[in-house]
Amino acid sequence: MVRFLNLTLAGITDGMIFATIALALVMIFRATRVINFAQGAMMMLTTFVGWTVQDRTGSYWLALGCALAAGLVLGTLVERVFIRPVENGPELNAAVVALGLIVLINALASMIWGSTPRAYPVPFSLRGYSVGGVRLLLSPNDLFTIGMVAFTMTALVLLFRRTALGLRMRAGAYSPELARLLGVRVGATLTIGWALAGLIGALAGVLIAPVVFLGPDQFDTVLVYGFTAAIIGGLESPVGSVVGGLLLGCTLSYVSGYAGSEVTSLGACAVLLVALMARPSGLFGPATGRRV
Amino acid sequence: MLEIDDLTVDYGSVRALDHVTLRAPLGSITTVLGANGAGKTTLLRAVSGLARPASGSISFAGHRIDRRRVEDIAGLGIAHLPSGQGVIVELTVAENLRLGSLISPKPPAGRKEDLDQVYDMFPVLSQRRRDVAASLSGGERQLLAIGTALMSRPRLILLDEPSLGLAPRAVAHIMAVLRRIHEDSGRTVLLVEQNARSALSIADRVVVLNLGRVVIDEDASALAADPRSMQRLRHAYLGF
Ligand SMILES: Nc1ncnc2c1ncn2[C@@H]1O[C@H](COP(=O)(O)OP(=O)(O)OP(=O)(O)O)[C@@H](O)[C@H]1O
Ligand SMILES: [Mg+2]
Repeated sequence: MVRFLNLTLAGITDGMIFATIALALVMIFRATRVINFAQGAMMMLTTFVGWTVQDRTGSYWLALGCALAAGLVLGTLVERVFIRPVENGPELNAAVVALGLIVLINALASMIWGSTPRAYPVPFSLRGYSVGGVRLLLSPNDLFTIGMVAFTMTALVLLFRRTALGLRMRAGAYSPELARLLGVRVGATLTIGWALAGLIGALAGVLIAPVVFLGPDQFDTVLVYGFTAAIIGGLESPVGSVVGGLLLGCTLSYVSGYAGSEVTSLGACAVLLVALMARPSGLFGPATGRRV
Repeated sequence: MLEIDDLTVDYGSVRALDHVTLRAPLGSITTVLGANGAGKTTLLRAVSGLARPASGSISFAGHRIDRRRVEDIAGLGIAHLPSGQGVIVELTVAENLRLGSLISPKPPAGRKEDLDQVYDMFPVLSQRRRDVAASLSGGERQLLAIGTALMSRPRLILLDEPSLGLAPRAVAHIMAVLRRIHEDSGRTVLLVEQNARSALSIADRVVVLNLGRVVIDEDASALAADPRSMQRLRHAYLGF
């Protein structure tokens, strides 16, 4: 029973981490209808910025602030410089540009920071709480991670549902020409969408780095899980991202706990397949089918 | 109010509008008629900034607008309803309407009144306010598009074939709505139609385009009374 509880707790923390990546993807998808394959590379770069600040100043929070700021700037830059020129072309163009970006950012990061993985610190203790003499797989730092992701999700839901900016962003993404005819500065909403996704991605990177270490391709596996969580959630919904992340996180945790860690990726496949069979456009996706 | 002078628009080697000059005076309903490919849609797109003129000028309320951005032109109070797709189908009815009201920073109180007015005029939208626009019928979508435009408090409304694909009863409803909007608030309307009969029934002025040129520009009542003009109208449509 304790083992089950602990696997669940570990799954929740992991799932929240997958969810942050998914949230960044959802942000861009909702604002621009593009799936940002370069999300992982961008996260890696901003986390290195945080790592450098941490290395120089020793302050976790200053480093976090700088990583987040770098995320905003990087998101803006990527949209303005790389995505904007291909925006009106076929969707494949944006994917190709993203692949190019991955190569570019990876080369840049290897040049500046080398390719040996670096350790990234955590702000709070990793020692699990103990209840009645039983040590739980839930630490103050896990609570921090869960809290940050829950906060981000809530903020995104409110942004999309309640604010004028959110409505403009959705309008610009669904129907750019009509949105412009209604006075929406679609160019600006696209940039803001990418900037916010950069910000969320930066948060994801800083939350992940202590677990998987930081290096040009340390994020790859967890990135795949982030994409999986986003797809399970339907790519459209912040709540879907978190539910998708939690489903995936817990399943992976049970699979590796009860069946062995060699089969975890099979577990991921299974969740994805089952979820997509139940609802082809994702658990929280639009009711109308999307052609993929 | 809206002054178009010597406007030429090309799509590559295709000349869609050829030195078009026309006026839509303040508070009038002007209808633009013409056969397929005459350049009607292009005319509206040029006014709202979606099509760039090769030469000529467009002025609205005394400002040159032909080089300005689509969003800015909309901000001046020009609402353009493209044909058959004037609503964002993924958003709900209420969200479409709210989007219309966001165009200018107004106090929320004014917004609420506008919204009540629109729901009053189109009770069907009020019943369906939480549904996505994709679930509306063609006629209901057309009403939503008009309602959304009204939420932006436009001074000039450009409509591209609002009767497209609608049953006669719905067309009559739309025309009555346009007439009412015009009478209630004196908004200027530029109405592109294939359905000449219903457009003529509400228009003050008629412009007929043929192959990108203005071939008729007259008072609607004068046109209807003058057999020679009606002959020319038929000619522009049917080519004989
Ligand atoms: N995007 C485009 N690219 C190339 N040519 C175009 C484009 N849009 C319109 N045209 C051409 O410009 C001319 C005018 O087209 P426009 O759409 O303005 O006509 P219309 O009067 O609105 O016709 P309809 O009644 O069929 O809607 C036509 O010859 C058309 O083929
Ligand atoms: Mg047309």
